[in-house]
Amino acid sequence: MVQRMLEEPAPRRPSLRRTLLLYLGLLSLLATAVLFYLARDYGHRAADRSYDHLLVSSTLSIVDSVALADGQWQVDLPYAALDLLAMAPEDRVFYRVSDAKGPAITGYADLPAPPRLPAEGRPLLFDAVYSGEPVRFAVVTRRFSSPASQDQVVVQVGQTRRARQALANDLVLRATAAAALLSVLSLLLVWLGVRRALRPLKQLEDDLSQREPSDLAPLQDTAPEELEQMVGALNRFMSRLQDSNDGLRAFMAEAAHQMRTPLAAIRAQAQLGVEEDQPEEMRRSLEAIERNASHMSRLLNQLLSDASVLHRASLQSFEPVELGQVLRQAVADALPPGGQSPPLQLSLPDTPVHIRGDALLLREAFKNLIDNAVRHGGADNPLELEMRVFQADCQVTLSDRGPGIAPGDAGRLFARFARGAHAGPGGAGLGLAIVRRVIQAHQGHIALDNREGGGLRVTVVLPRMP
Amino acid sequence: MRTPTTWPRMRRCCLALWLLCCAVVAHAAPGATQRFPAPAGTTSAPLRIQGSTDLEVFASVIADYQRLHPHVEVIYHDVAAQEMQTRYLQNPRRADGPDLMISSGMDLQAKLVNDGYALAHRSERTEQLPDWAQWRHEAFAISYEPLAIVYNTRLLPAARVPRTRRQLLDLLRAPDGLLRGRIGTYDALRSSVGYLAATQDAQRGSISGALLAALGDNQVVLEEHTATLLDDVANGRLLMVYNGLGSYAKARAEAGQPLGLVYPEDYTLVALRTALIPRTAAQPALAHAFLEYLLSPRGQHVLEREAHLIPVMPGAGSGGAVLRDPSFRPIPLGPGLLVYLDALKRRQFLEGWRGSVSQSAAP
Repeated sequence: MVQRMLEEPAPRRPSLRRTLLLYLGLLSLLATAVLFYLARDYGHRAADRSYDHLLVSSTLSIVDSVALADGQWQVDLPYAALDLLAMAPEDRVFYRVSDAKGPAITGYADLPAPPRLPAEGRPLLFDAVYSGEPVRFAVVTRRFSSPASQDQVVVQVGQTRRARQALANDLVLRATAAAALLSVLSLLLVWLGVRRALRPLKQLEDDLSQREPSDLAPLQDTAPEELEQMVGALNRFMSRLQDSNDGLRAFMAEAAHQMRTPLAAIRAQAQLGVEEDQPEEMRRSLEAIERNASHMSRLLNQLLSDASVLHRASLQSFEPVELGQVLRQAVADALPPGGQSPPLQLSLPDTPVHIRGDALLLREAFKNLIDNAVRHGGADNPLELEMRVFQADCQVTLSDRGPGIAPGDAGRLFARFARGAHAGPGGAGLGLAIVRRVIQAHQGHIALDNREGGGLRVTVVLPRMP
Repeated sequence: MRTPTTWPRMRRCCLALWLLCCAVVAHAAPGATQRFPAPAGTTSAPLRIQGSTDLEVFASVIADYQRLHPHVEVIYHDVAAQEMQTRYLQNPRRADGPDLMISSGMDLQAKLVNDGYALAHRSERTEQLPDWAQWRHEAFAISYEPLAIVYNTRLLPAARVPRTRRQLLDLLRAPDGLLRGRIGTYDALRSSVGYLAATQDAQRGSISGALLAALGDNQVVLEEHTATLLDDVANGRLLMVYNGLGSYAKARAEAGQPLGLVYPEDYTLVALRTALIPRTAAQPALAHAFLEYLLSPRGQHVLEREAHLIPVMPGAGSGGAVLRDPSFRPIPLGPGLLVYLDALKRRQFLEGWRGSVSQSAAP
C-alpha cells in the first residue's frame, strides 16, 4: 500500500526555473547543432585547402619533369613529387602521366578520369573513389610543341583522404566542444541568474510564513518590478482583511452591548417578580420578561440573518434574476393576504426586467424594506412601490406616509444597531444595514429621503443586465 | 670515432651454429620451401610466410614461435623480394598465397600497401614503432639493415680504412690503384636491396655521382647477393664492399672472419626489413599473431640473437643504438619510395647507373 503510494508520482507543478532552463537548453542544443554542421562544412573545406596545395605542387612538379624528345614522352618523376605527399603520413598516393590523346605514359593507368580536362595553368581538383577509398585528385595539363605536332600531356595525382578527414574531424571536434562548453556555461549562468532573480520570492514567502496570524501589515516594498503587481494585490487583500476583521470585532462588541441591555432588564424584572408577593405584580414582571426576551430573540434573529446575508453576499453566486418577480414575492411575504396590512400601490413595467443577482437575498432585502415601511407608516396609510427602468439600471422606490427621518439620519441609519428617532420598540437596528449590504453586493446603491407631504422614500438603484 | 666493430667473446659459442647456416646460405638458392609441422599437432590451417630472409636464418625464429604456439604449423617460403611481389601480383588469390610477407624490399612492400593489397594491423606494439618504421599500420619494420662499408682487416691497412664517402672516393682515386678490381657492391639491376641503396644514394648524396663514376673506373665487381661479396672479401679476392648488409657482415665478423665494418659518418643508409599481411591472406588471425610475436620483446630478442638482425623496437637490443646515432638515416616507409618504382624512372635510373658503373670498365 505504502509502496503503491510511493510509486504514484506527485503531480508536477509548473516551475519558472524548469521552463527557463528547458527553453534555453533547447536553444543552446539547437545552436550547438547548427555550429556542428557549419564546422563540418568549414572543416572539410579548410582541410581540403591545406592539403590541396601539396597535391597541386606535387602535380606541377611532375608536369615539370615531362619532356618530349624525338616524339617520345620522357618523364623523370621527381623524388619530392611523391615524398611531398608524405606530409599526410597515412595516405596512399596515385599518379598518372598521360597523353591527352592516347594511353598512359606512366603511373596508374586505371585512375578515374577527370570530369573535364582543365585549361593549362588552371589545376582541376576533384574527388573520386579509387582502390576502395575516397581519393582527392589534382589534374594539370601542359602543351608541348614540336616541329612535327602539338601534344598535350595530362598529369593526375591523387591522395586518399585520411589526413584531410582527420584534420576536418579535429576542427569539427574542437568547434563542437567549444560550442558545447559555451552552452553548458550559459545554462549554468542562467540557472544562477534564475536562482538570484527568484530570491525575492523566497524572501516574500519567508516573510509571510513567519508572521503572526494577526499581523496584516503591508509587505516590505523590496520586491522586484515584476512582482510589484502581486505584492500590491497581496497588500490590498490584507488591508481588506484588516478592515473586515475590524468590522467584525466592532460588530461583536456592539452585539454584546446590545444583548446586555435586555438581559439586564430581564434580570431586574425577574428579581422584582421574585420579591413580589402579589400575583398581579408577578404577572406584570413576567410579561416584562417575556417582552424583553422576545426583543432579544428578534435581535438574535437579525444578527443571524445579517451573518447569513454577509455569507451569501460574499459567495457572489449570482445568476439572471427577474426583478419584478422578486418584488412581487417580497410583497407577498411581507404582506400576507388576509393579514392586517396597509393598501399597497404597486406599479411595475409590463416587460420583465433582468438583473444579475441572488434572488433570495434581493427578496429578503425588499421584504425588510416593506416591513420597515409597514411598521413606520402605520397600518392605514397607503404604501407605494414603483419600479422604473432606465438604459443601464432600474430604480425601485418605496414610499410610506410615516414620520420620515430626522435630518442627518439619512446616512447614519444604514449602520448596524443604528435606530431612527421615531423607531418603535422591537427593532434591533440591523434591518437597513442588511439591506444596504445586499444592494451593495449587487453593485447598486440605496438612499433615504423624506417625501413632500410627510413620509419616507427609499430609493434603490440596481444595474441591469447588459 | 668509429672503429671496425669488435664483438664480445661470449657470443661466439652461439654463433657457431650460425656460421654453419651461412655456409649453406651462400649456396642456397632462393625458392626453397620448408614445412614446420606443429610440435603439438596441428589444429588449424598452416600459416604461410613468404620471406626474403634466408630460410636457415629465419628457421630459428619460427622454432621459437612454435615453442609459444605449439599448435601452429608454419610453412616458410624463401623467395627474393622482387619475385615475391611479382608472383603475388600475378595472382593475389592463389590458394597457397602468403599470409605474411616479410621482405627486405621495403619499396616493394610500400607499393603493395599503396595499391591497397595490405591489411591493417593495430596494437600497442605497433603504436610504439617510430613513424617512419610503419606505414598506415599496414607495413611494419621488424628489423634494421644498415648498409656498411665492409673490408678485409688483414689486407687493408687500418690507416687507409675510409670513414666517409669522401674518403672512399679519395681511396678510389688514389694513384696506387689499391682498390682497382678489388671493390664490390650490389648489382642494382638484379638486387632489389641494391637498387634501393643506389637510388637512395643518388637521392641523398651530393658526391654519389662521382662515387659511382669512381667505382666504375675501378672496375667494381657487381653481385646479386651480399653473401657472395662478403665471401670474396673474407677470402681476400676483394678488399672492400660498398653498401653491404651490415647485419650479415657483423655476424661473420663475430664468427671470426677477418671482416671490419664502417658505417659511413656522412650518412649511413638504414633499410628496413618489413612485414605486411596481404588482404588475401587465408589465415589473417595467425598472421596477426605472428607479427605481434615478431614485434614483441621476445621476438625482437630472437631476431637479434638467433637471426642476427638488428631489432627495430625502441629499447630492444642494439636497435636503440642505431636510432641514437645521428648519421644513421633510416629510409622512411611511405609514398616517396614509389618514385623509383615508376617504370620510366627505373629504366632511366638504371641506364644512368649502368652507364656510370661500366663507363670505364671496358679498356
